[in-house]
Amino acid sequence: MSVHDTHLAALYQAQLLDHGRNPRHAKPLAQIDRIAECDNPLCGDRIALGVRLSEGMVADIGFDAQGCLISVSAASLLCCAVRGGSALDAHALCVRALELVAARVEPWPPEFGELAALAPVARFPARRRCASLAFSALAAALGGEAAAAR
Amino acid sequence: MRAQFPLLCVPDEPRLAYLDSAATTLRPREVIEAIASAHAHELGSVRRGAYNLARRADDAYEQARAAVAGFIGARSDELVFVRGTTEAINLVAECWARPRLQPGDEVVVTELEHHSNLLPWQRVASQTGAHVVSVPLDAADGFGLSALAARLGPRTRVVACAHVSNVLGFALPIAAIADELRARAPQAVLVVDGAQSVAHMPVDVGALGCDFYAFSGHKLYGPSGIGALFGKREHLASMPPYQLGGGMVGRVATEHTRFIDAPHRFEAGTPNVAGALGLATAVQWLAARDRASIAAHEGALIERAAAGLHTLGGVRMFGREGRVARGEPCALLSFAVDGIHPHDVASVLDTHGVAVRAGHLCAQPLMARLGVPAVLRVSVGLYNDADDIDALVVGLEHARGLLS
Repeated sequence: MSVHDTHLAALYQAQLLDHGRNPRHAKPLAQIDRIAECDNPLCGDRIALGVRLSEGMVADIGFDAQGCLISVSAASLLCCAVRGGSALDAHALCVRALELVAARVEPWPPEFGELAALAPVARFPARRRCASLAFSALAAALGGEAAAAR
Repeated sequence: MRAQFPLLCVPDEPRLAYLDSAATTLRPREVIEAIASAHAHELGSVRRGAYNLARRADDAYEQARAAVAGFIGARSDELVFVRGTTEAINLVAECWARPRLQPGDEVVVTELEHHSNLLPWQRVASQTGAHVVSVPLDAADGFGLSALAARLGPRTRVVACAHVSNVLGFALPIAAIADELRARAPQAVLVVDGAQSVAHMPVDVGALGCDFYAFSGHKLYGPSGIGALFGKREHLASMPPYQLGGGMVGRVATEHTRFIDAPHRFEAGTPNVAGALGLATAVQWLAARDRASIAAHEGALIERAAAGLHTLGGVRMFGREGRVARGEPCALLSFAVDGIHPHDVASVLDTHGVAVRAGHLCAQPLMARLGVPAVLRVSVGLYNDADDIDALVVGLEHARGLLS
């Protein structure tokens, strides 16, 4: 395999392909407490992400995304990671993930769990915005919670 | 030909199939050397210096203006140097349209415009109470002159359209549109976005009959940060300045300032002298070539790409059928691969050394009309060859195998 094939295989591995083609939580919520929309200004990826909160927890989360495999799988993986957890933790996770993507860190720390499947986007810097979109949307949606906690 | 372009000749690098010339063209050595030489030898302050170095810079800059004007069949006093097509259109919107538009007036654009030829009109319309009217395509691959003509009337003040679509690749019938304006809306001006045309076909603004024509250096084998706006003499003479500052004033007093004549009135501050010299070198370099055979070469490459995509199967091509039926050559082709998003395809192509554009191509209204969020676009310049196209098709086969 060429070195390029290696990078492609690292990025488009089974888990990412699965979440990109069969995204979880790709549904509108019946009740939404927080919502954020993000567009990738360069290319046509867009995401609308809604959150239902209950006592500071992410009770439910859903998204509507139109975009590439990277952006859709990132949204799906993120929703799986934060659903049922603390909204503050989810916000912190998004902020940290945005830092990791921007800094092209690979691999990601273990606390990111399955989200670490996105780490090889570091080898494709043109795709960083695709990977960042869902994190930017959720961070914006939960920004109020984070601000109130400070 | 590749040897004339340093970016295609980097030692120890894999072969680059650069297929994004519609985004920006590569620069030939001659243009790069002219820019370097400008910085080395021609650096003087144009229109400001009393010493010989400044005089030389001024002469060189004005000779560059004459060369660029001549390239599109215009006179020097009708040619304003700007940063690019975007700035040129913003200048016309701000300085011709805004002082004139009344509530209820209409700015007519087409559904296929690049954002740079849409957003300035949206803004000036909201500032003045005018309306932007968008003329739809008559099919996914054609432009109906009658649809545009039907929208012209006494309230029309501006018609703004591309010469060549950056997504669909075909040329609009500018001369015929100008005729329709004269017949139905003689009070209106025709503003043409020439960003995608000037590198691929001879342009004569007199023959086209347009009032304004804008283009960018970096899409014409020239440098970025420089472009040109043609405006008919009577229009430029009637327009207030765009930016204010040094070099465009006649007399400055505290209460009142008189500005100098066009085109210098629209070139406040020290201009991009090296850029202007680079652009002049680029137009002269291109004009010295057999442009008809270049156009045929580029058209043949796009046909090769289309044939390869057709054989691959599962590829939707945009804007092609009508153009082929009309026998018009074309330097670009937009397409989408079934079931795979353009970004993901582009990443695979990147690993093959194939550079294409993926996204909405700064034409979101057109994407909505085509029913896709994004496309892939292959666009060629005179340095491309069959190997580049073949690498594209091989890369697409790989993308399909990996991602579908």
